[in-house]
Amino acid sequence: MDTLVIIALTASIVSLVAGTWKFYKAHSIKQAPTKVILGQNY
Amino acid sequence: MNRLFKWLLFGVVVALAPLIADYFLHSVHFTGGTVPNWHMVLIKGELLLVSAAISGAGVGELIGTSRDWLPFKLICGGSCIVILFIAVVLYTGIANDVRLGTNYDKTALVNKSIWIFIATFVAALGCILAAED
Repeated sequence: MDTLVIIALTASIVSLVAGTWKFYKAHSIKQAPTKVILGQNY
Repeated sequence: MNRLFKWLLFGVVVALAPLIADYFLHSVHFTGGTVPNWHMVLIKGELLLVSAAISGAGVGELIGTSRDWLPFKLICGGSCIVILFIAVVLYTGIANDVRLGTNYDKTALVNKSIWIFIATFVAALGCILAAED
């Protein structure tokens, strides 16, 4: 396979991994339940 | 998810519409001897133009989003720009060969442009996922 095609496929995998990772992490943080510890500051 | 479906419909399908229309026109008005196939449609590197447009749209989706998760967005945008440059370089080479009437390996070009399109689709999908807030 051509070198340019290999570079393009590598870049696409890097982009997909980074985008999926960001999407998963951002949504898991957004959907995490807020922990309220009553009386912690008293 | 709205951004993803909007990109799939108006980014990818609309960008491919001229090539799909060309294929159907070719299959309706095909003359004897040339069986309509995708090879005839993609023989001048048209899919590279579509790839450049889709990767440009992928980078465009990232512009204007918040600065949160900036390293991830930069990686996705940078990858898309790399593929954009590769598509541009390949297309200019083919356009020059067509203009000068030079012989080039058409089968290799079609295969290469299909791989570049797949890479563009995947990289732009990464950009869309990174742009989702």
